[in-house]
Amino acid sequence: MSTENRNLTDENVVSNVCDALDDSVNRIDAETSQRIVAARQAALAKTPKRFSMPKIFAATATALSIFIAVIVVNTQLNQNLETESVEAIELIASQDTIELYEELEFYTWLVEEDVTG
Amino acid sequence: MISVERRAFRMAEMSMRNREDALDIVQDAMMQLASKYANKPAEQWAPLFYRILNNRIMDFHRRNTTQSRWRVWFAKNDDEEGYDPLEHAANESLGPSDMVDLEDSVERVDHLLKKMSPRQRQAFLLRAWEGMDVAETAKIMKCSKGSVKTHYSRAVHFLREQLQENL
Repeated sequence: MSTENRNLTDENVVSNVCDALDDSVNRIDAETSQRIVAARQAALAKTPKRFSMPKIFAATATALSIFIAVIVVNTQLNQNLETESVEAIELIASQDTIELYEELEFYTWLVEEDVTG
Repeated sequence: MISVERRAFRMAEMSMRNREDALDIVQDAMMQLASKYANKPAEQWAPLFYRILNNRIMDFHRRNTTQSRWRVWFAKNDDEEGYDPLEHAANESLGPSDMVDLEDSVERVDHLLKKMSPRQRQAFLLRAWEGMDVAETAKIMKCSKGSVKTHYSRAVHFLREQLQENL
């Protein structure tokens, strides 16, 4: 036994052992290496499929856009209906207009009299 | 997984003393990692993988312990909760004189690690070879940080003594 070996420090021991372990990994035979790779591939094939974050964001943005579009169109339709309703109510409520339609023959005659007279 | 799979296999092989068992256990650990923890950040995969692997090794030794009459009897005399199957797993029974025949440093180290207590070997491999810190190693080994430090220190002491005597 040499003096060098007698004075092995903890760092030397750890370093030497780790080097030997690294060598042992490099010496794993081809068949075993292939089986390790096959095991990894089999495990990865069983990985559950999941939505990635960008896809989730895209789906959420699309759904939000459709929702906003529906709300905007619906609001505009309601506004148009309200305008038409108000006009109809005004027309019905106007006594003059109703009288005009009721006495249409009289007013037609009056206009003709004015023209000829 | 690629970066740790071969080292993990070697660790399992040293614990199981059998290539086929080691391959099975590594594949099981990979399967569990991929199916349950694939959504975890990549930097957590190695500690998770070793935790699963360690559990599998513990289960393997536990099963072997149960199958052995002597070990079952031994387990009954032990504290049930504190019982550690790894502590009772068989160590390599070669004597120091056998080391003389092992010319190759890889074989020598392999022999020494197999001769070492399983918990010491585990602490050494995770801390020194895998470069994990004490907290990570404690999580993987399911013990306290103090136990990890003790196991690691004893492992290095054992290796130094053996290397000084036999090299």
